[in-house]
Amino acid sequence: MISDLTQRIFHLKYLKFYLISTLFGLLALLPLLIRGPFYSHILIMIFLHAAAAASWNLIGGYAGQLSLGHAAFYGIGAYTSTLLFVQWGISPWLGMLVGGGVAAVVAGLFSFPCFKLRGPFFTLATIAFGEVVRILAIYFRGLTRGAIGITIPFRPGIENLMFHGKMAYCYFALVTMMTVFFVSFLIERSRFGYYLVALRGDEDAAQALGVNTTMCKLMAMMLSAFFTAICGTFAAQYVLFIEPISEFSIDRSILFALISIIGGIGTAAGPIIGSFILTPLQEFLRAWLGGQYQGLHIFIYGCILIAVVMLLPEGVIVWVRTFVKRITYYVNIS
Amino acid sequence: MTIGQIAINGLLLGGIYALISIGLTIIFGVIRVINFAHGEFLMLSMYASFWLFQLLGIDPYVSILIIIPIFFIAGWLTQRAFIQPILKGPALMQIFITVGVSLAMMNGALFLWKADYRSVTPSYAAVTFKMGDFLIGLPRLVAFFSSIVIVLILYLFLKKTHLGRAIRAVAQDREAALLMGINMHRIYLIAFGIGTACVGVAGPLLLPIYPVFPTVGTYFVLIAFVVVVLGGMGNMTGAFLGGLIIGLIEAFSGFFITPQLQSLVYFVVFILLLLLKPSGLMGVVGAEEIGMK
Amino acid sequence: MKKMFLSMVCVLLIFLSFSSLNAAEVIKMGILFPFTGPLAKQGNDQFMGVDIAREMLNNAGGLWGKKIEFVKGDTTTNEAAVAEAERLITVEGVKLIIGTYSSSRSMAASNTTEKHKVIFWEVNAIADELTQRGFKYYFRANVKSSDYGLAAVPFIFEVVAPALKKDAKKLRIATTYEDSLYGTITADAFTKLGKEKGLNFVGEFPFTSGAVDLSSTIMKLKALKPDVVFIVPYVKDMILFWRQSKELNFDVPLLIGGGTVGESGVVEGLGGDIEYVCNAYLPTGCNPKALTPEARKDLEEFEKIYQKKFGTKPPILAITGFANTNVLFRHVLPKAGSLDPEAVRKAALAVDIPEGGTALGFGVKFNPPEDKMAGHNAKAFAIIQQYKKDGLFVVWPKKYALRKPELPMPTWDARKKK
Repeated sequence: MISDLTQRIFHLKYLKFYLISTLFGLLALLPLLIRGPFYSHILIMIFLHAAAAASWNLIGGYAGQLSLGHAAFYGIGAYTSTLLFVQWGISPWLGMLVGGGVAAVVAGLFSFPCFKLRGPFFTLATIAFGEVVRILAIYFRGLTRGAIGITIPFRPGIENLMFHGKMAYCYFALVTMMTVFFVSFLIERSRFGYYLVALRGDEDAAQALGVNTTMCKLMAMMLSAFFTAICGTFAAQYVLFIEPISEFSIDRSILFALISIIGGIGTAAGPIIGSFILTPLQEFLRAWLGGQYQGLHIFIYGCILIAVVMLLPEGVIVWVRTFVKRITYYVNIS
Repeated sequence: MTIGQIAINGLLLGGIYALISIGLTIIFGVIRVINFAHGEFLMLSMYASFWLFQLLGIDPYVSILIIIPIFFIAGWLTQRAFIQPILKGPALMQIFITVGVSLAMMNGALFLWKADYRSVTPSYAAVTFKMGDFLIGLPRLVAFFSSIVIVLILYLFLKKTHLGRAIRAVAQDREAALLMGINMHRIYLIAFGIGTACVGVAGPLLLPIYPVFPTVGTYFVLIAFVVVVLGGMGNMTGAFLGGLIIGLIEAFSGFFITPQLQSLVYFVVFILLLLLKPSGLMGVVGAEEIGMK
Repeated sequence: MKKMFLSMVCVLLIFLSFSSLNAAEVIKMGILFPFTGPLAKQGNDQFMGVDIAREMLNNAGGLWGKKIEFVKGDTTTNEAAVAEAERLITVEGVKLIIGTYSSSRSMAASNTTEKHKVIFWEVNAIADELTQRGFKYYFRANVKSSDYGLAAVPFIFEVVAPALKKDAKKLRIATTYEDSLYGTITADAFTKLGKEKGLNFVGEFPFTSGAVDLSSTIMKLKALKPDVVFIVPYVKDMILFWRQSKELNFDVPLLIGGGTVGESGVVEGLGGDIEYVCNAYLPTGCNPKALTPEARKDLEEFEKIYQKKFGTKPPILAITGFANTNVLFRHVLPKAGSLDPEAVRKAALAVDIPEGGTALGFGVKFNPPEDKMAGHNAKAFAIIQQYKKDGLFVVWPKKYALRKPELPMPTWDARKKK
């Protein structure tokens, strides 16, 4: 009878569930296992970048609209919550939601007319959009303090989303990442998700079948902007200093897309995998070589990027899937 | 007269933009890849010209002759090594390989040559012509006329030669060109080579005007994309006119609005252009759709 | 396969970043400068000066019988600055960090150092705000952004107005500056001080650093016919600005820079055209007679070593880096007796060097923690330099001047005739 029970529990169809829960369990334990502020910092960056990349993935991966202007939303989130906090003492928890809302609205207004653009043209429009937002943020000094940037006074406390030590930041970043992950996961399995897959594959065909592609893209974009802005707020609360040139930089937009692409675009786990690879790589290359030889660490990073893109054009997740399939196969045989 | 001088400044600036964008319009028009490394090729050609001047005493304008074949080959190799293998993959991968190439080139230059600003000061660099009330700098004038010359040469090449016609065919309609028996990969290699050679010419022409340092390319690359779209992808004359227009927009908006917003104006123009007439001034309508799938 | 390779590389890197050298024989100090990115040149130039200070100290026997060793961190971006500060403190175990050239990087990194109670020794960044945060472990030996204005304004009253034969308050003053943190605060401070003293500002023209064309800015300035233009650019902008001014025949009786106009690269890019342009800066290149013998000796030795290593005279940023680090090495650390941050703090606050006592020419006295500008060197001040045929020299105030100011600047036509 016991073997009967064992057989039931360890049935093949639960295998994926066990694997995933183990992984989640590990992730949840990571902030406790990683010791040392520098390594905790890297973990926070991993989670943060994964969350931002996963947010980008909603429009870039699932909807297939390659945006390279997402830093605009990130910065909008950072600036909105920071200004609300510094000027009127409004908690960043609320500021985060307001920032997300503003970003979503801006995203909707801008992207709606742009959705008729295909391929690289949409991308170019988003690049221009990102630059426009950056220039405006510097220009309107009265509102944003311009290039001078804003320093956030350190007043630790959960109501201010500021903490002593790294652990709390770690968990908050982790929770953000998991939230976007679950949102992606749910979308994947919903009707909305199917519409997105359809329009990503062949937009005209999807339209012909009655899918309102514009509405779908709009929803994905606004959702994506909302979560990206939240990541911006978190980053501001962590670094405690924001300036237009950093928050709105095109390099940041490229990074979000890059992480999703390396990990596996259009999948829920892709951005997480991508961040676990790229973020430590960047940090450790810089830590190891940055002080010694000017430029060498970024040169190597660029070369690795080229290599990974060439070897794994579909992203690292292809391997993960093959790996899981193999395990499933072997378990099946035994 | 101030307005006249502003217009001249704008046109001369536009000539520079055109020079940089001609190469990109060929690459973008034929291969349809957003080449983020374009600015870095410009940077490398400026460095090449600088070192030829510094070490061998070769005048920048003369160095063009040496640089053209080198950069043609460099472009060919880049296409062969990095872009051709992943052409079948998702379009984003092609973009991100160019990002990798761009990072590697920029920081390779930083590693090898440090971040110092390198300038050349040949005797003619400071010559300015005075035509009535208007002032025109010699290096800028040379750059302006060079872009016209390049456009003419390429125009003749594309119109009159068999290879040129094949390139145009691929730019207009990829599938039809395939059906016509054109060897796509060879065309891509040649197009990338020509495009890179063009930006290779731009480098020595810009060196008497701007100092070179590893990140100099990043200031030009976005403008180049705006010009290419404005002019119509794959269209040389379009790139030239587009460059002039953007130059004029920048000069006038910088003066009448504020210099801080001069880039903003052409980005906004760019977005409007994309929304209203994505084929650009002289592109074939619908050419931007074909070859997307 | 690729993933295995990548993860092996990662592990190797982690391991390597752990490895530190023989800790017993050396004293480790952290270094934070932008070695890559848009500020790479400046970061590297300045670090060269800081490094020679270390060399000189080691040659003289080091500190407490041990040699100094630097652990370097690259602050490409603000986030990198935070990460590197964390790494230097918690992985490498340094108790003191010297840096960072850039106000933005300094702002970001020092949030971390203050949390860990690690000394942050800023040798260059000038944003006033850096020392307005009430930090206890942050010390800036250098001038602040408003100091450039504090030098330029009296210079205008005392020297420029009489040279141009006009009443100072009737002079037309315009500012133009690159619109990031550095340019904005320096120009703002100058404008504020100038207005307080009654100067007449006719226009301000921010531009984006790295702009490929500055003709609109120049055309606008030309239209205003200013007597004085105060410019705060980065080096590449300065080269373009002055070249285009020549092309567009923009004449101005005085062009005065807010610091960076003195940096290396300007002369290489502009050649003889830079002659007569003025610059507000720290008293580098000042009259050696204004320095104490000890400071003079240090400066001479520094220049000798730099010349031997690099074959050229040291650029201004290197001198600044050297001199401000030397304050730490010569006057603070020996008194502190160890690298313990509390001891260093106490020693730093006790320092009181008279004017002329550092290689840069100013004295040192750090404001106490209760002060609004805690940690800032109250004795730092700026002077005015002018480019002459054979270099950049201090021309005002008289006490530090090596040469006389020659104003107004000749017009482009007059320059061509020379």
